[in-house]
Amino acid sequence: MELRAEYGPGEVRVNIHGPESSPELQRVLALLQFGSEKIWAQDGQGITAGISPDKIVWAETLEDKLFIYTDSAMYKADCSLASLELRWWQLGLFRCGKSTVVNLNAVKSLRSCPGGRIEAVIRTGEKIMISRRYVPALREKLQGGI
Amino acid sequence: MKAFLKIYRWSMEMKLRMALYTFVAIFIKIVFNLLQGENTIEITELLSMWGISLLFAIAETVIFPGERDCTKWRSFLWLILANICFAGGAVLFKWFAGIPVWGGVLLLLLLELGLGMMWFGDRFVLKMDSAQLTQMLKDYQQRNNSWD
Repeated sequence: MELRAEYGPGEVRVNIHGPESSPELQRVLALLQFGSEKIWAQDGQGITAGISPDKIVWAETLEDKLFIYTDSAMYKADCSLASLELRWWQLGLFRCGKSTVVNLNAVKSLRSCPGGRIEAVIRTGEKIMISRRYVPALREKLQGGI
Repeated sequence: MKAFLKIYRWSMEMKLRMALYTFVAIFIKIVFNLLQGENTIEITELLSMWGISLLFAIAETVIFPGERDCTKWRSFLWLILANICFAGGAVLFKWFAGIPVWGGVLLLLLLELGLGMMWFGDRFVLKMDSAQLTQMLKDYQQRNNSWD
């Protein structure tokens, strides 16, 4: 990717040039649009904190509540799992089960299991099972880029 | 939560293998009974097949925990236990009562062949696929993080 910056007076304007289908371009767009965004959630002590997408390791819904796990803490958020995935899927959040989303950038290794499922070992040492239904999408995502 | 996830993951793997063993045992019993001219299987036989399959599937998760490498010793133990469970179960619960010697030998050969294929599939094919998947993941992460 070629990066060129031109400095001048006036508003900050970003022009991106490239094929629409390029995963690289889509990710740059996603970073510009959502990279600095945060989701607001409460930790165990009830303190509200902003969590950026790169801090999310994985998330799950339990009894209609969304729990977000980072490297060191667990947060409870008000949004749905689907909205979390839709918002930041370009940044690596991947739906890996009916009630689970994992950040692929936080996955250390993948293990193919009998029955067509895949086990993901995340950087916190936890293991998350990617159900059969989501395995084709995962393989496609890993091959396709975004 | 971690403990729940661990148990859930363990049960998911175990019950899949249990179902596979139960299905194969029942299928062989069906063929055997049809050849004997019988159209039914006793519930106690079904239950004993399920019980043995459950026992072996649980033992298998102990012999081959996911994170450990497949050693010769573990493979040997697995093979011995499989024979004890299934050949022993067949004798103990009389699943194939009245089978001629050649039939028994054939069933034993089928068992060894099936176990061999499972071992090859689980320990080599899945291992190779895992290595490929992890490499794809690293490439994906590198692509996505190269200009963060």
